[in-house]
Amino acid sequence: MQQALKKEKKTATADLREAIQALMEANHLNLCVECGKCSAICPMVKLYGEYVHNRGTRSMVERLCFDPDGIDDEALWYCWACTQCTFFCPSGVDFQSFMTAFRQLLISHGYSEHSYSCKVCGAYLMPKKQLQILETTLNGKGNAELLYECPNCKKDKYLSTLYKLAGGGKSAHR
Amino acid sequence: MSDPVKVGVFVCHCGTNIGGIVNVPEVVEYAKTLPCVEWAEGNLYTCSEDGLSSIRNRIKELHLNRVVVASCTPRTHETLFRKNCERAGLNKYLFEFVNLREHCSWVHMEKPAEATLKAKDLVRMGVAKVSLLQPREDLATDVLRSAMVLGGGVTGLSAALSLANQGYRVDIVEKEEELGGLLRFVNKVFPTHRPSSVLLNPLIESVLEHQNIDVHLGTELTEVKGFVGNFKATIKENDESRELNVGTIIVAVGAQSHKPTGAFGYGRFENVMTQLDFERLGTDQHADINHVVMINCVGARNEERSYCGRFCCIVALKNAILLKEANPRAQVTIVQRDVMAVGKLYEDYYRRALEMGVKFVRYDRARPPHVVGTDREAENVRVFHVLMGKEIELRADLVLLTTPLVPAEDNQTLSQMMKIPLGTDGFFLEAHQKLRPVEFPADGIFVAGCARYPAEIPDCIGQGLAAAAKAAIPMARGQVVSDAFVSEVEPSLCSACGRCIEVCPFGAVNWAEVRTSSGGKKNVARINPAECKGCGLCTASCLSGAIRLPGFTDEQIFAMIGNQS
Repeated sequence: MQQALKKEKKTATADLREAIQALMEANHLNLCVECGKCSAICPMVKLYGEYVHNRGTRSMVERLCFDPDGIDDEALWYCWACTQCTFFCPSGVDFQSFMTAFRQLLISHGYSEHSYSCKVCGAYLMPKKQLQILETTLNGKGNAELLYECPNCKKDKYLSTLYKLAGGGKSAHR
Repeated sequence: MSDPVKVGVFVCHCGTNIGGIVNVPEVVEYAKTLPCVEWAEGNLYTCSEDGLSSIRNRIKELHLNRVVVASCTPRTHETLFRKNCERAGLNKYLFEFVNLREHCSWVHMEKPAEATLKAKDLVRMGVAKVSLLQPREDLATDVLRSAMVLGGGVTGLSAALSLANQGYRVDIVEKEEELGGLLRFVNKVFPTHRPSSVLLNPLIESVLEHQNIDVHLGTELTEVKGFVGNFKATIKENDESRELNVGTIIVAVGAQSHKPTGAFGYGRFENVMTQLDFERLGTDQHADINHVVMINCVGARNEERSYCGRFCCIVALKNAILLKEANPRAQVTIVQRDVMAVGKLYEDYYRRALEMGVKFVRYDRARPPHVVGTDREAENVRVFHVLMGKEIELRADLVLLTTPLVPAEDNQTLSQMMKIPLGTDGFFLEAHQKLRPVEFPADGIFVAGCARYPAEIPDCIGQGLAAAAKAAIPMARGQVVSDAFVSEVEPSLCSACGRCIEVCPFGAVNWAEVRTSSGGKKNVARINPAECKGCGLCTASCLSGAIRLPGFTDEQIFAMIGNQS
């Protein structure tokens, strides 16, 4: 079973590669001139501790250009899609848009082990690793349960609470 | 000189450069106490018009007949102050320069009190010397209105054409059987992608048609004698020796492409070649090549050859773009250490390559890529990816090695023949990297193009034209005027040991036959004042004390170091 699954993944890789290639071209990833500004500014590099070769934005570009086998590496899920690197890039690499689309692509191809999805509707929410970090931080303040649902589901939940409070057309206020 | 010596001393603050460290008013007061000093003053900037007019006025009012300026370096300002003395009617060789900035304030910034003491000493030495200077006249020699250009590449052709158009006769000496140099083998030039022949052919045609230019192909230079204005060059053309009499020489011998035999399978694999080898094949096959790996900095920026080839990165970009244009599906990867896209429009050119999908991998000098393959064919290039921290493998149907230009083989011979220096890397060494980029220390010989350092086409042409412009100066004037502080031999003292001939870096000392008092003949050293630069090497090396350098005579030096206060 395990092996069959792996094989399935391998076959998916071929057209996934092409889709990634198209995404890279659309977002100008090839224009990278190796200046390193993105890695220097990336808040996630700071979050994950000292700079490690596979964690920065720049190295993700490299990985996708030259290392097709690294597709299920967790490092691809470190990015928070915050736009800092895109803002500072002197070459016009749109890394933020790339990353957003790239993750949708990965999830649609079954590479979802590092992603966390809304527990109500199943929409992609954030990388699993970051969820864990936030959980640990927020648990101390007792707010961790705010994390597990996507904004839409939260809105629905709170709206239904409000609706109940307003129940039967009576005013909630006395 | 019968008039009593009257010295004027002008001490410059040079803004705060000197005045901020050395107590200038104190030095001025001290100068006033020195023997023969008639006048001493401090100036904010002696080289400003205020300072200069003050010197002229004092010369006229007080009838000063010696001037000492204590300021910066003679390298930049001596001519200015000498001219200024001349304007006031004083012989310009009665001026002495004391360097208070480089020799004192800049080097003793932390010790102002001691610096002031040293400044006084230096001024005292200047005054002691200036009193012993004698008026002299500049030396003038005639200049032939013709030039020899060594090398018929794009640099030499540009230089020759420029000189010929200005009306000078030019001899181009080219050792190959054809004009055009290395550029002949380049198929298209960056960044316009026009064939090199479009650029080269009109230049060659104009040179061949020009009535003022003689082209000597397959010709070797065997000897150069003489000096600026009057060089005698012996060339060997078709096994016949000929002599050319020229006023100036431009060295534009170019360079050669480095062949990295043994490295990266070069010489072993048929599909591993240098960029120039590849260009010589033409562009017909470009569309059939699917996987290309280029390795940059092969034989450059390493222990053996520390310099950057300067435009080889652009050559790699050019061939990558040409390959991509011919076959958009081709995978072209440039394995590089840094992309040096320096130059007009080259950064855009780099971007164009990136936009076309040319990939760039950085390699570490300590872990260079290696080429693997079968017996005669390279198949893959393995390179340690620095950012990923692991080795990756790139498929390669063709491996191009980007190599720098290296010095031409006969640079050494030419260097000895003409007494022009070579740098440590084997290229010709200009007189000053920034201020005199196309000149040699020896007058009348100029350098341009790849003979000096790897240069791309616009640089080569620019330098060729610059050298032509420089060479035209003495020819336009018709004569050269040289500094009068040149060495002189006293024949009666010369022991004919020949040491001065050996040490002279300018080839200015030669044997001459003189009659002795007893009626016999003997050889003595004779210095050609037109070639002498007054460096003093011969003077210092003479065991018999026969050579004297005015401006640095024993009496003057002893006076400087003798009267300690």
